[in-house]
Amino acid sequence: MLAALFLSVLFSWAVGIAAGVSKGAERAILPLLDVLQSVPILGFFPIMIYAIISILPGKPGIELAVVFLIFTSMAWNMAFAVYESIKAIPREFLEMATDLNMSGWGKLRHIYIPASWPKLAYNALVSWDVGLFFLVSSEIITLGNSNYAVSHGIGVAIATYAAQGNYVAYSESVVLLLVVLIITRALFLRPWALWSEKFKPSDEAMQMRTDAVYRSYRWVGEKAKAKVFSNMRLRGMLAFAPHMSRVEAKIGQRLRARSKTIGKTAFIAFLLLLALLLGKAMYPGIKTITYQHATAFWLDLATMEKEVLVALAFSFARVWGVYLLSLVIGIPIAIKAGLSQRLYEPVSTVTQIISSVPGPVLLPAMVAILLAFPFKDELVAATIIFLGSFWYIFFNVLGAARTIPKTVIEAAQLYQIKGWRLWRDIYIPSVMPSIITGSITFIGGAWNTLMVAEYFDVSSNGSTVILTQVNQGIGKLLDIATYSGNIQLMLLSILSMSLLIVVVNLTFWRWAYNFTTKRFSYNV
Amino acid sequence: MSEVETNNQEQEAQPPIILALKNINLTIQLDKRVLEVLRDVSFTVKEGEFVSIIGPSGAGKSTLLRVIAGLVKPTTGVILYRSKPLSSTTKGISMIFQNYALLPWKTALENVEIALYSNDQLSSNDKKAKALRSLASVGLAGFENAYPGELSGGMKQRVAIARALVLEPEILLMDEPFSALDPLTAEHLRDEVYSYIINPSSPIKSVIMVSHNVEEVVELSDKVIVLSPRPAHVIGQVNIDLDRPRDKKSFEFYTYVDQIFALLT
Repeated sequence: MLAALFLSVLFSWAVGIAAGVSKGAERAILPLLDVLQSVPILGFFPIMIYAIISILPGKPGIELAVVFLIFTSMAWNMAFAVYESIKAIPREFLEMATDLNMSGWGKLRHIYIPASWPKLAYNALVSWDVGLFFLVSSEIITLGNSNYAVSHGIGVAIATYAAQGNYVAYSESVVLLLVVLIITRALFLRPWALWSEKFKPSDEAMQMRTDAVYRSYRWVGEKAKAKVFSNMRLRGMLAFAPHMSRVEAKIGQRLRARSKTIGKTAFIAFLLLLALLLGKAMYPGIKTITYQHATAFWLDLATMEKEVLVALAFSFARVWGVYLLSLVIGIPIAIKAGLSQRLYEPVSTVTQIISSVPGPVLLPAMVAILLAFPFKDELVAATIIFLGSFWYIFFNVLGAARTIPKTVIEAAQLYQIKGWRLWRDIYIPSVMPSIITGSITFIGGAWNTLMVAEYFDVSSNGSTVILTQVNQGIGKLLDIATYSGNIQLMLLSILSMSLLIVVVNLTFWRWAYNFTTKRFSYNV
Repeated sequence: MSEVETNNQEQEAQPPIILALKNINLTIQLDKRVLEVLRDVSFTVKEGEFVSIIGPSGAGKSTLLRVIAGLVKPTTGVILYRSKPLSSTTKGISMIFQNYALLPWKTALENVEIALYSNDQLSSNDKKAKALRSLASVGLAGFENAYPGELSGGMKQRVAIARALVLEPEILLMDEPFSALDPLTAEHLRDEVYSYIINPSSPIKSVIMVSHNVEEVVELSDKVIVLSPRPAHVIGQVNIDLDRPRDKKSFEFYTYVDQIFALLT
């Protein structure tokens, strides 16, 4: 998990800074990131495992596949964060760097990387939750051939206990997971996010000073540093060094000259690798196309596509249904909590902890509770989608409600605007851009959760217990195709689903995003 | 205390007091620290008077204005508006905010109309007509359908003024109304604002303006309240007795400017 996070940070610097600095790279990288981000990663997981294992068989292959999956769940979001930070660097900073004859490396070290810290750290918090969801899911999703399954891990343990009906052990595991979550958050991710606040160009929100954990880190850090380095070095990191050493400048020059080629090569290599993996995965499918079977194959494919389209329609309705429900629940609560001095801290802390619990581990308990209700399967599916995605809307709106200008709230108070009017004319439009951003990530996340929500089984000691299963759905279809090793159906489902998502993203959401950021943003 | 009042003014019949602040204290709690913002602030505003509040930045000038608007409750002390204690926001007192507080998703006209939302007696047509008149009175006829993003800083400020005027308040509060504008626009708007606001056809009787610009304050005010650094209390009151329009190059003008600077430093 940490390996994946580390990889993601490196990747997002490389890609984000390249896109932020060079116009050419921006044109190439942004649409690609956009598509990669919106494609349901979990859907690709079976293929990825299949591909990686066929190259690197055995345990290391599985582990690599899991790291890769988690990486793909975290990296795009963080790369966007870096890109946005680079774009937001005040022009004066860059002009100053040029003025001081700062080398490429110097700019990287003293400007680009520090500038990217706040957003990167904040997004890492979100990515961590998402990554955890995928970690647990990927552990739980057993593949058709059980040799592929990861044998150890909290996800495996929880699933196994649930399958055995050992609810005491199950609850213990869930609690243990929760405790680990809280600890990693408190000891590692949160201090990182707070530390990075100091790289913000403004002096607002210096929350880090009052945070106990952060302060103790700082204390320990300073003691250690005082011994090893002189204080000057630390300051040099923060303040922009007035002059670079000549050697550094030279290396920088050479790097700058080569960075374009290096970047391009790396980019092409990455694409090639992806293509190779996909090709490797598709090969068995393609192999079956012989001259005699060609017509039958295409007919077969057409029938499958019909099935896929029906399943897609069901899933689409499911995702959007839960989405609308999340809007109705999430927006009022998030705005209320965001505007209230008293509620904000407790609400955000509690919801952050709840949100980081990966939905699938709660599934057995949910199934047990919802058993008595009608439409139990749909309810379970909806709950899983909700738990996996609701937070995108909630946290986005919560953050936006915090930044509604105080004078606007005061003006509303002064003109005695109350009730429905206040919500319709002031609150909701104020957070509109964040509702759209949250919605885009919500929908993206929701398609991913379908893999678990629509069909879910646990196998233990050879016996399989199906916990949930909806009537129709693309997630279910994908799962079944994976279990039965039907690679054509698997590929067809993924491609159809990806195509639908990408098309909706590029048309509707692109338009909504551009419109709202133009019309509803306070910084014009 | 520095009083500059001429004798003949005292002999004339005084206009009635429209607003009186009596021993206003305000302490707020910030991260477990108790912060004293206002200490025993008292002054009066007469009908027809343009009063400015000046003080070092961070002193609590804007907070004081919010106390008068009824947006912030003082810890102790009372505000008498036409001799009645003020407990919340009222139609008689309106405010222009520092960064205009315009809603970017509403047109200039709609931004003015929101001030009338809570008025149930007016039909929506009447509200629109009133808002249009108000926009025209600040020289923005023809810009009703422009969004704030399409307007210059000076025009945005005029929309904000139109919004405050549409309620026909008796007292207008202005929080650094010219500080976000470039000096030329500010200069131009200062001259105009005075004529929009203080004229026989305007409902506004008195203005209270917060500023940190001494020249601006001397140019516009009848009375200047000088506040100390936090916790803010009144360290001086200067009555400015100059004919309007005021000659900013005159000796008398600079005597007042120097006097206020002396109090501030």
